[in-house]
Amino acid sequence: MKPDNKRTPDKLPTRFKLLLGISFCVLLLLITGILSVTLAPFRNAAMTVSSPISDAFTSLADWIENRSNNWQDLQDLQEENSLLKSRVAQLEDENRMLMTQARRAGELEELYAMDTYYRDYPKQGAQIVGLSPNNWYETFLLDRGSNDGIEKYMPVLSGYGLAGHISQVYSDYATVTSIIDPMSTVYAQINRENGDLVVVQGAYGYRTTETGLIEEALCMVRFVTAETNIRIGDELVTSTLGDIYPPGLSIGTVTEIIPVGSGYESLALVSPTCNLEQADMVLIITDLWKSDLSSGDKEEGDE
Amino acid sequence: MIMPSALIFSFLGWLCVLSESTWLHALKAGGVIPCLSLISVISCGILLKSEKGRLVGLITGLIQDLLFCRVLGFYACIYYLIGHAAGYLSRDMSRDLLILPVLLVPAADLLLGFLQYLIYGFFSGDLAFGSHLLHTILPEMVYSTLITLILYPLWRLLSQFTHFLDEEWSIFISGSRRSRP
Repeated sequence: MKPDNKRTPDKLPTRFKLLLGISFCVLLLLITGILSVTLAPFRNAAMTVSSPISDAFTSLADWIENRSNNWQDLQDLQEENSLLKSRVAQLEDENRMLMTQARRAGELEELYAMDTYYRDYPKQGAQIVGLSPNNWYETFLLDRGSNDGIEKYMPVLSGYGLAGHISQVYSDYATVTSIIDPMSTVYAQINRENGDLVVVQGAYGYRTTETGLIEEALCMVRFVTAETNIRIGDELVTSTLGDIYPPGLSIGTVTEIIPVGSGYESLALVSPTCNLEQADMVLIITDLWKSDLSSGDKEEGDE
Repeated sequence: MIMPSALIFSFLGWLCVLSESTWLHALKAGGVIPCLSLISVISCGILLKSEKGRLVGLITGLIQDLLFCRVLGFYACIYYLIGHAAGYLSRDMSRDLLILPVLLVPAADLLLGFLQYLIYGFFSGDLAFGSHLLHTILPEMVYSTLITLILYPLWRLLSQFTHFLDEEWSIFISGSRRSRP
């Protein structure tokens, strides 16, 4: 700094320099503030020089903002996603419950409709609580027993049709032999004016040379081809001849007619009206059709 | 006498002022931006001593006034004094100490914030100093102090280079002056 000193021999003290600077600033303030000297040319020059850098900085700002916005959006979306996921789970759960309720309501409605359909007979609802260990309901277990007034041979309805009859009664449970059980036979009538009387047998698991093993929930009618007037689409109802079932209950509809052997006899396959695969509520007719059934040692079935 | 270091740091002060008006707003924290030009002026005062520090402060303040203020001289005066004070207060200290700017920046920021409140708030009839202090001045102090931890080391690194330039420049000046007579 020696050259400096040489150049300025009258070296100013720092205080004086400071005062100089401050007074310069104050002067500027006074000039621009109070006298309102126009600064437009200077400002324009400063702006012009600054604008390229300013522009570059502004795009940098945009970039930073975009990045932070993206990050923020991602955060928000993740948060929303987890929220929605839990909401979906909750709604699914509610939906499942509602579906269950709706299904149950539907079943009860059906039962109610059936109740009015078969208004004449005193009936009691029961729930299916056990099944025979195969795909079809050859026999099934109900949650009503002798304590509820259930007796052996009481007819059981499901949907709009006959399901079977009570075959075994315990204090709180009862087993039902369904009409598709090969052990079951029902006296039936073709639901036409002066319809022929036939015998409907359970066909599930039944084996004939013509049909092979029947693995569907079907019943069958064996009849003499020439003497019985039976056609596909005929509805079969219980007849007055039976001991167990009151007359007029729908059994099923003829779906197929197969000649047996030489054709003297034929086999009609009957699809039951009741849909046991989907039911879990049934109705029991709590009135024995023939009052002597309970005391008598009658074998299962109508025969 | 104009030194290269003062010019370079004045240029950086200009960039700081422009930064405050542009991209720093994208990095707002607690609704405030750090006072980058103030940090720059204080760092220069510490690193270049008071004489060049106040020159840098004056130029930076003038640029800020020219670009963003209605009148000239407000920031120029304040930065001039702050640049001088930073150099004066740290005259016997090592420049490697980060504690110097970390102490000086909040103090100067508090002062500046108070002055800004006086100019923009108090004289316009806004008497809620407490709310200004809580929501603007104190957060800005904290944010500025944090930024100082980044900016001061950078400026120190740069000042080593400009110090070398200054020496070369004074040799060049004295050489040319010696050859002149």
